[in-house]
Amino acid sequence: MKMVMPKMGMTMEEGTIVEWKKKDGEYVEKGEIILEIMTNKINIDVEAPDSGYLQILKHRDEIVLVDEPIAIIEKSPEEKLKELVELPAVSQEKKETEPMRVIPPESIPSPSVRGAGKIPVSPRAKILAEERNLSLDTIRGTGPEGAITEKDVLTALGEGRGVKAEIEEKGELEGGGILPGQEIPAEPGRHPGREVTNVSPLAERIAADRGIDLSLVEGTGIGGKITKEDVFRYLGTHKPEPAFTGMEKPHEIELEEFEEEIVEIEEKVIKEEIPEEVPEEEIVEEELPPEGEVPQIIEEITEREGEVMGEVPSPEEELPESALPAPHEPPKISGESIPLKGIRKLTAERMLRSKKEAPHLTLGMEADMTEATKLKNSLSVTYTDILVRATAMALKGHPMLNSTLSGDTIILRDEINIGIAVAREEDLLVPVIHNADTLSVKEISRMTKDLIKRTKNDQLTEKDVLDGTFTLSNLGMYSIDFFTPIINPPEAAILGVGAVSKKPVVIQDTIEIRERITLSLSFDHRIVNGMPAALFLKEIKTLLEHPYRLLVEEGS
Amino acid sequence: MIIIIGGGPGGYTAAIRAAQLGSEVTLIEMEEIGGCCLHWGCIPAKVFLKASKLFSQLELGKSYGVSTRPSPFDIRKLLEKKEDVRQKLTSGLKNVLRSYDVTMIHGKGVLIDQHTVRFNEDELSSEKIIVATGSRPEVPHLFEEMVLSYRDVYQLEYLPRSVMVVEGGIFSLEMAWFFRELGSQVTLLTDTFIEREFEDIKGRIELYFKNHGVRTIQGRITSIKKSDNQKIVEINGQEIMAEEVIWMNRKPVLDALPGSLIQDGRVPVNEHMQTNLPDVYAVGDITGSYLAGDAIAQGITAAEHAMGTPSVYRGTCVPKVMYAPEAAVVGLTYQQAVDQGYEVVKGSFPYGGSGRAQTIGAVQGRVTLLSDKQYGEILGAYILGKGATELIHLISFSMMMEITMRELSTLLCAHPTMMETIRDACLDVNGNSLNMPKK
Repeated sequence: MKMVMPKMGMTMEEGTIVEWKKKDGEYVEKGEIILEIMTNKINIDVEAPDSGYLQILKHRDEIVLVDEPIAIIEKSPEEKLKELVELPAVSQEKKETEPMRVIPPESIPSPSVRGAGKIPVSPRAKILAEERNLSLDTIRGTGPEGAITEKDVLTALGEGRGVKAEIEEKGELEGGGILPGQEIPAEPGRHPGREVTNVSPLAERIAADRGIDLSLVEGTGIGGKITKEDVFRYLGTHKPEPAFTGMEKPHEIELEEFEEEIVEIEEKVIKEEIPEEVPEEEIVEEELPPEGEVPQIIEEITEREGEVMGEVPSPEEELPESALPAPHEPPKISGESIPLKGIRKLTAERMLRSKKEAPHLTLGMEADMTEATKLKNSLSVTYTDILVRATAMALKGHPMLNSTLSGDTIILRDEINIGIAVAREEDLLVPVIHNADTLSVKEISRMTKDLIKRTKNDQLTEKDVLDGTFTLSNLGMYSIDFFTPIINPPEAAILGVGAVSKKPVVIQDTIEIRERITLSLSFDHRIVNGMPAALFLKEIKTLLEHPYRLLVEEGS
Repeated sequence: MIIIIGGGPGGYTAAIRAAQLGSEVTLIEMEEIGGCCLHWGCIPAKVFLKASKLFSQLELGKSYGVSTRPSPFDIRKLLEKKEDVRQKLTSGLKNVLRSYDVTMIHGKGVLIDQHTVRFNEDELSSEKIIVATGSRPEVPHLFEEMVLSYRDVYQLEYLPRSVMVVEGGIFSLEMAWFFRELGSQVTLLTDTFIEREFEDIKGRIELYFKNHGVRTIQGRITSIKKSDNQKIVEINGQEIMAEEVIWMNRKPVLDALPGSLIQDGRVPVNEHMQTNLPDVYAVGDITGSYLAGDAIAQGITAAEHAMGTPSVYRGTCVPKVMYAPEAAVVGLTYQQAVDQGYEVVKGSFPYGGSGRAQTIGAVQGRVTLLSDKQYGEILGAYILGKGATELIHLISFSMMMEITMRELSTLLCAHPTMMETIRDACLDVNGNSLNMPKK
């Protein structure tokens, strides 16, 4: 059966594979935890939906859409048979009497089944089977990886020996190759549904990894064999081998397509997300894994005079690496390299996506916080708590700001779940206060305290981070006044707030010293226009400036 | 009907292949059937290198209990041997061509349009035309009298005591090597030591040359003067003496083609070796690669495609080899693989760990394979050491068949053989070589 990326929350669209707890080919039990995924920066354990042999399709660090296949759990042939036939204890010996399956006694059953129809076949076996009208799926393979070899076909036919002679008589070439002088026969392209065996080992591996049905792929190799290029062409991501260029000129090779682009964050908007940011963070490609690198072994010193030609010189060194051009040269910017991995990478991708998809507009508005400051002090809450309450109340009256764009439909969310951006040393998380509009300021304060504590201690659960409908980001503690926050997809807007500070203000033609704050509202212009957004922001300002309303009213 | 202009490895291979597929074939050659390769290139060069190797190997014999007294090198004997080999191969080649009823014409063929070729006074029509006119030495007019082209070297009747080899690349390195092994003083003048395909082993080869006393300099020649039996070469204001100056530069022979098919001094072709005119193909040196192996593979592709098979030239699977020192590469270099986005892992094995290498005293060398971590795709390989030029073919074939590292590492070998190094290099990707200490 196919195992898919589970949907662990209403707004979850995709998850990242963190770690498979079981190996490819291993037997797993239904209900066993076999996988860890990450979504919204929270790690979640996933159980096996069924028992059987695990065949992994998506690997570590791959990002997969919800409901896309990530693995196949295959019953062993014995189990399958058990299920079908319902006979108790079907043993190996009994099977020999079945007309369909011929299992040579010395064969080694291979427990790791490689997904239906993808058993490799040697060219000789294929030709022989075709000649004798024998279907390949009745034959048990004993070659590498369960491959079906000529011997297996013969065994299936009940012929042990004497075949060599027969083949020699015919004068066939090894592997049914093309005799020089013959034209290369081209087999008709595709046979949907038919088991495909004429495929290169590499193409097979790629197809299995990407979940491609090989019977739909047209093969252009020898005798219609499916090659790597054919698989990529099928995927529509085909880049043909560069037309041949001469030796002197450098090859013009197009870059291999990537699932994820290397992200370049153009705008300094990042400031909002990374409080202690190093300006111009370098985005570098991932470095090569060290395990791939073979340390150069210093050759033994066996110097001779008059070395035989073809030998490399000077034994003192297997040329020290420093003299050779460095094998991997990162882009030539000097400085410390930090590979884009894990949460950082995820953040990068989400930020890019958000900016790309949603046309951002940011409105800035000052509000008077003198009264709110008094409230804050008397209730012993934080500015954030007050802001969450004010935002939740305002959203009740302005549902468009509490929505999400799904395809061509704007969905007005039926809950108001406000996420608060919490900065940690290395990353930024957004735990959510669910149904914030039903909570009092004090209740909000309690929840926020708890969430922040758990965030800092890495104790957040998936419930804590999913299903947000609006985000609040407070950079006031870093002395920021105004900024342009990036919307947290798939939400419609985000409110950024700056520092509360004393400022001279004109009130009725006199100057007074008041506590002031700047509100920065970024919204998705596909969903909302400037005026409704401004009205919403005005509502928040009004609530902040008349904070008693936060205490008494349930909604505006 | 197919007309082929040029009878070198590109042309004659195409001719034979086309004939095998049933076509009537006419082969037009201006000089000698067999081309540069057979007469003034690959073949004579390898005969020469064998001579210098035998000469330098005399010393090795001692450690095996075989002593000889060195005697002076007789270059005239070598010329005879070269002639002998050359004639054998030429007549053998002509026999093969005749057996396929290929019409051989001696003359200069020129393309009139995509279905017509003129040679001498006649014109011949054809459905398809394959142009394989190769390359010729390119010596500046000013220096013509003073220097030897790469063709002239194979007529030398004496061994110069000092030579300057002008222009880099594997042919030049082989030339320099030949003279050095025989004891001449050698200076190599070049900005590019070796072709880019060899860049993963460039450093080691450079070092080898340096340790063997070959001097490499860079710069431009401003004048060459004669003095007694020496040439005085002025480079960047300095004067260097050499008995002979060997000018290795070459350029493609494009006389047979109209300008419309030429770009940047060569003929651009697609993967089927077609030029801008679909019925006209170009193979070999004129497309930009100066290796005979490439020309042969391209000739086959062109002939097959001209005869209706969708043949494609896969240049990355054709190995590039050299003999001074013996080295071979195929596929992508490490940097190219990284640039293409692969997660490259290396598997490597030193000759010192090979039983066979030890028995023949060829312990300096290394096999390195490059593969992609995700699927185990074999991306390329570089081998430096004895037998490299043969060993590389197992890799190139595996690449063509899209065999991955996993399959290749199941290779079963006879023992002791050099081929075991390939298997061990393959296993080394996972640190599982059977002949190296555990990692």
